[in-house]
Amino acid sequence: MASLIPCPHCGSRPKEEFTVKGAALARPAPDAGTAAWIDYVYLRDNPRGAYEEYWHHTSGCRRWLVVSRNTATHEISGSRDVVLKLSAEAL
Amino acid sequence: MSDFELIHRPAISTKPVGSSDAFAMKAMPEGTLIHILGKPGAENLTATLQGLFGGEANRIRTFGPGQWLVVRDEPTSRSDMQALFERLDTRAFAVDQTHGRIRIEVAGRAVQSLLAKGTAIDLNAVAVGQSAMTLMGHISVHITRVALNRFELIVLRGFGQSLWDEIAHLNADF
Amino acid sequence: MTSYRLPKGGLIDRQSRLGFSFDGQSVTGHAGDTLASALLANGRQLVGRSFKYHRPRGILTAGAAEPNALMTIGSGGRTEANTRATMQDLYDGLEARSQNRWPSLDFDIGSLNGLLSPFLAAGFYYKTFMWPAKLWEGLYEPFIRRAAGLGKATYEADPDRYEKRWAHCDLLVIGAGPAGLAAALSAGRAGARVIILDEHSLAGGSLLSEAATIGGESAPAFAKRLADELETLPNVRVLTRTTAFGWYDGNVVGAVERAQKHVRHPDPNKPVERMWRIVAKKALLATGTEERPLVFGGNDIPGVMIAGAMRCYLNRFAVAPGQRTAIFTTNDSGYALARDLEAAGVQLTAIIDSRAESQFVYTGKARLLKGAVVSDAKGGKALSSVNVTAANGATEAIAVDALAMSGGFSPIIHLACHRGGKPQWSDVHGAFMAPSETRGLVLAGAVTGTTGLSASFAEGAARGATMAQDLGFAAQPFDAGPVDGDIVASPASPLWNIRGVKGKAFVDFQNDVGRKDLGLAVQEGYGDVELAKRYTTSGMATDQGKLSNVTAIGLLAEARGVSPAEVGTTTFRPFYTPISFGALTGPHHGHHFQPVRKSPLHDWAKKHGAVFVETGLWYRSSWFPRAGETSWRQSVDREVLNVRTNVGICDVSMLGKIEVCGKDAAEFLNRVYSNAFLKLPVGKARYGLMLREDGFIYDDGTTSRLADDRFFMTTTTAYAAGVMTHLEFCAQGLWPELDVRLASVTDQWGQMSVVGPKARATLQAIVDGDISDTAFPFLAAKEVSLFGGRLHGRLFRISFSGELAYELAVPAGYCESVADGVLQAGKEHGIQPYGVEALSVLRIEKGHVTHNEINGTVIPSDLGFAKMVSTAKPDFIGKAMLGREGLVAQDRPSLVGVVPLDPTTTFRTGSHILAKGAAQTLENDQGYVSSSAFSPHVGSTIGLALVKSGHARHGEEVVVWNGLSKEFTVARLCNPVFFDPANEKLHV
Ligand SMILES: [Zn+2]
Repeated sequence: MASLIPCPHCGSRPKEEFTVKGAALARPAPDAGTAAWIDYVYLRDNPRGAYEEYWHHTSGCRRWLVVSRNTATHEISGSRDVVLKLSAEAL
Repeated sequence: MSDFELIHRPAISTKPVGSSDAFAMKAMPEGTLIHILGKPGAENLTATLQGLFGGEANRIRTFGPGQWLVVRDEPTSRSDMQALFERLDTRAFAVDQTHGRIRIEVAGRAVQSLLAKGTAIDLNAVAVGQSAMTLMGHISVHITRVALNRFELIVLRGFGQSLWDEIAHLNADF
Repeated sequence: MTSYRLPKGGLIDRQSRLGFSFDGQSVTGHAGDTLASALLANGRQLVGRSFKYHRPRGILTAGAAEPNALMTIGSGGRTEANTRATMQDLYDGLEARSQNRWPSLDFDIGSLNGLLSPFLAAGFYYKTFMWPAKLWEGLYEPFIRRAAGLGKATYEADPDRYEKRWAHCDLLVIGAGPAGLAAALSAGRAGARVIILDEHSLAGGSLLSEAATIGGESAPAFAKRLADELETLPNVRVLTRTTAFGWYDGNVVGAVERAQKHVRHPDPNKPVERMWRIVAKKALLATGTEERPLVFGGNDIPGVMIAGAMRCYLNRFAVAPGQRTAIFTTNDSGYALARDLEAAGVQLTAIIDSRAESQFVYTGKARLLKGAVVSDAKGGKALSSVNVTAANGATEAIAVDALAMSGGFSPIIHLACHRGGKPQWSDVHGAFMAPSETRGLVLAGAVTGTTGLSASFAEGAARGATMAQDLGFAAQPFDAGPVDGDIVASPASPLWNIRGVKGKAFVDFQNDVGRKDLGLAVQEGYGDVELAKRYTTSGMATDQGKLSNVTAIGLLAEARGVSPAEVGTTTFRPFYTPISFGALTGPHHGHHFQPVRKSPLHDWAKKHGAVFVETGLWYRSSWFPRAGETSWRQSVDREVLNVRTNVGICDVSMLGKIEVCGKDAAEFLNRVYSNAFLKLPVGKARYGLMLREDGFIYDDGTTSRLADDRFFMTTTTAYAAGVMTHLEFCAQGLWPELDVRLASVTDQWGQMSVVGPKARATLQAIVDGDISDTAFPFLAAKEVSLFGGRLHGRLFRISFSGELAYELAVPAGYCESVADGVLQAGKEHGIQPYGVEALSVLRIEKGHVTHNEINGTVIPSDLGFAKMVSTAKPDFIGKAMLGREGLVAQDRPSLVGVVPLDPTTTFRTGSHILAKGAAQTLENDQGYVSSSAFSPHVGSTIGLALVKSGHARHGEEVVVWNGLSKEFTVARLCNPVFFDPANEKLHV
C-alpha cells in the first residue's frame, strides 16, 4: 500500500506518483542482430532478490529513474537518475 | 471581424472559498506563466532567469531538473515575451504556458493540514520560496510555499476546476 | 435486569445517562462506557451466537480481539455490521443488534446445528461438497454463501464523510500504554515531532485497568496527566480511537482514526473516519500483549471471560462480572484480579492455579487450588458451575456465574511482522516474539516480554530517548517514579491440553473451531500450520485468530509431538483489524470519484446543447441535438452531411500536444517515428507513425515544424500521457546525447477543427493572413494572427474527414470566444458544431484509423502504411523487430473496407468476417470489423475491418458474423476509403 520510492530529485514519495516500465536494460545497437533484439524486447530474467527497474516519477519531477527493488521482499533500496549523476537511498 | 468582442475566460469561475484565518482559497490572476526548458544537469539558471525576468514582480519556480516556471500576475505582451525568449539565447528554450497552467492560492492556519489530505510531501520541510511537484489526491500539482501559511498551487488548466472542487470539499472542517 | 454496576470507582461519568438499545430493548449506560461494558453492567451476558453451531456467546474480551460480541450498529446508510462491542464507545441513542440468530438471540433455530456437530467437524466443506460438480452452482455455493459471514451490509449509501491524510514525524509511538507514554514523553519533551496513537478512547492502555499507584497517584490519573502533558506539546500529536493496521515499506504506518464513530449525530463537515498514512523516521511498537484463553469444555459459555478483560470491566468500568466468581489461571496475573475483585466486594469462590508450585503468596479469602484445572464449564446461556480436576485427579463442581481465565500472554507483534519478518518462539516467554530484524521499528514494554509497570515505563523511556537522541534531540528518559502494588505476571508455562475435558472446548471462538478439530487435522495429514488453518478454518474469521492462533499452534505442536517453534506461525498481513471501505475510499466517491478534465470548449459545447460522453477523464461532446430530432442518429447524420456540404466545427482540444525543442529535435523525432522527419520544412505538418520496440504501432498524429529547433506534436487523446512519458524515456534513457527538451502544451492550446467545403471562407473572416490554397496549401502549419492582430494562434491544414479542413489552436482562455467567432463567421455558410460521433463517421468514410485499428496487433503495412516505414534511417523505435517472420507474412490481417450487399442490413463493430459459405465457427475466422458506422455518404452501414490478406480481397463477398447475438450479414470487402479516394477535396 503506502510504500515509498526514493527519488534523487524529490525525496521519498508514495509509489502512486510513479509509473513502472520494467527491467532496466540497455537498448541494443540497431544492428545488434535479431537474437539481441528478441532478448531485449521479450526475454526477462526473473531473479529472486535484487532487481533494477525503470520507474518514471510521473507526478513529480518527470525524470526516469533506475530503482533497485528486491523481488522477494519488494523492498526498495534506492534509486538513481537514469543519466544524471544523482542517486537516493530508501528511508 | 475586427469588431468582434474577444473575451478571455478564466479557468476557475467559482468565487473564493473561505475567508477565515483558518483557510481561504482564491484563483490567482492568469497573468504570465512561462515554462523554461534548460538542459538537465547543466547550469542552474535561477539567477539568470531572475536577471532576465526582473526582481520582485516575477517569481521563478523550480520545476524538476533543468526546468523552471516563471510566473507573474500581470500579462506579458507577445512582443515582450518574444524578446525575453530571444535573450535566453542558447541557454534554454521557453514555452508560453500562460493558458496551460493556472494558479490557485491556498492560505491560512490550517493550510498545511488541508494539503496533507492530498499530498505525501512533508510540508514542514518545504521552506518559503521552495517548490515541489506532487500528487494532490489524483491530480498532479506544483506546490510552492510563498509564505509561512500560504501556498501557490499550479495545475493543468483542464484539471483546475476539479482540483478546486476537491480542495473546497476537503476544506469543510476548517 | 439486575445491575452489575459497582457503587463506586471506574472511569465513567455517573452523572450522565446514555440511553441505547440492544435488540430493540432500551437500556442505559454512562459516558465512558463501551457498548460491551454497558451491556455487562445491565447483566446482559448473552450477546451473540456462534458462527457454525449457533452457540450462545458472551463478551470474552475488552479489546480488539473480541470474537463473540460482534453486533450490527446503526441504521440506514450508517448500518455497520460486525462491530466489536468491546471497541464501540457508548453514545446516547446507539442502536445495536445481535447477529447470526433467528428468530431471536434467546431462541435460535440455528443452534440445532450443535446437534449435527459430529458432521460439521474440520474439513466438512471439503468432504461434503466434492461431487457431483454440477451441484456446485445451484446448491453448494448458495448454501455456503448463506452460511458465511455474520452481519449484513446495507444497500444504502453511507451519508458520512471519510478522509485520508499523510503525516510525518520523527517518532511514531504505537500504543499509549505505560511504555508508549514514557517513550512519547521522553522524545516529545526534547522537541521531536511525535505522533502517539492508541486504539482505545483514552490513552493509558493497561494503566486504565490498573489498581497499582505510581508516585502515590492512581494509575489512570497518572496516565491522564501524561496524556494531558503530551497534548500541550505543539510537536506532539495524540490520536486516540486510532488503530495502526499495517507497517509498510519506507517505515510507513497505516492507521484508521474513528473520529466520529462514537457520536450520535456526526458533524457533516468532519470525517467519521480518517485514514492516516504516517511516514515515521522511527517507530516504536508498544502494543502490549493479548491474554490467551484456556481450552476446557464449555469455555465459550457466557460468563467465561479472559481474566484481564474481567479486571478491565471491574476497575475501568466498575462492572462486577457476576455474583460468584472463580479464576482459572496459569500465571500470577490471576492474583491481581483476585485482589481487585475482593477489594471491590465481589465474591471470589476459588482460584484454580494450574501450577503446582508458584512463588506468589496469596492472602485473600478464596479457596486456592494449586495444580488444578477447570476441565469443563457448565451452563446453557449462562454459566452455572465449573468442574475442577485437582492435581490428584479428583473432580468437584463449584457453582459460579463468572469465570476468569488466563492462559498466558502473547505479545501483539503483528505489525512487526508485516514486512516479512517471521515470529520467533520463545520457551522463556511461552510465546511467539517479534522477528529479530525490524529495521526502523523498535519494541518496548510488554510486547517485548517485559513484565511489570516499572520495567515497562523504564524500557519505553529508554527507547524513546535513544531514538530521539539518534535524530539529534537532547532527550532524557522520562522517570515515572516509584510504583506500588503492581503484581507482576510471571511468565506462564503454557497449558495447551487440559486433562479431563468432556464438553466442546473451543480454540477459535468466532469460527467454532474446537480442540478436536485440530487433532483431526493432524490425524488426516493437515498438521502443517498453513494446512491446518485452511482445513479447520482456525484463524480465518474477522478476528484473524488474534485470540486463538497461538493456542492452535500449541495444540498442533502437542499433537505432532514437536515444539511450537517447529510448527511456526501463519503469515501476519495487514490489516490488523478490519478496516471500513469508507476509510479506504476516503473522499474519492460520487462527484470526487476521479478528477474531471475539462476542455476549454466544454462550456461552449454545453451552451450549444452538446450531449457529453466520458472518454478517460475528459468529457467530450458526442453530438448536438436540435429541436425535432428524436434519435442520436438523426443528429449525427445531419452533422455529417452538413460537414460534407457546408462547414462544421468540432472541439479537438483533447488531442495531446507536445512541444519538442532543441538542437537535435528533428533527429529525435526521426528516431521516435517510423517515417522521416529530418527534412520536414518549417511551416509544414506531417502525419507520423510511432511504433513500439516490438514493431507494432503505438500511436499516430501530426507533427509540425514551427522552427528549425522547435516542433509541435499532436498525439491521440487516449495516448497523450503515455506518449509524453515514452518521449521522456527516449530523451533521458535512450539518447541523452541528443539535445531535446519536451513540454506538454495540451492545456495551453484550445483546438478546433473547421471542416467542410466552406471552411476556408469561414476561417478567412477571422484569420488576418491569406489562407488560400496557394498561400496555405494542404499540410501547411503556421502561426497566424487573428481578429486584426488581437490574438495569435496556430493554424494547421490537416484533415481527418477528407474535406477541406483546418485545425486552429488558440490560447485556451480565449478558445470559447474564438469558437463563438468562428460560428459567427460561418453563419452565412451554414456552420454547425459537430461532436465525436460525427467525427468518427467522417473518418470511417475516409478510411482513417484510430485506436480501434491501432490496437496493439497491427504494424504499418497492415494499415497500408508500408511507405511510412523508412528504409533509409539507421535507427528508429521498432525498426529492429519489423523484419520478423510473423510481421512479414503475406496473410497478415490488413485494413479493408466492408459494406453490406443489401444497404438496408447492418452489422456491428467486433463482428467477425467469414468467407462466403464457410461454417460459422471460429476456426473459419478471417478477421473482424474494427470500426463501423452508418454512412450518410454511402447510404448504408460501412465498416473498417482487419482481414487476412485483406488488401488483396477487395470485391470479395463475405459474411459478417456476430456469434454472440447470432447475427450475420452478407457483405463485400472493398477499398477502405469510401470518400474521395483520389484525395481531390484535400487540395481544393
Ligand atoms: Zn522526482
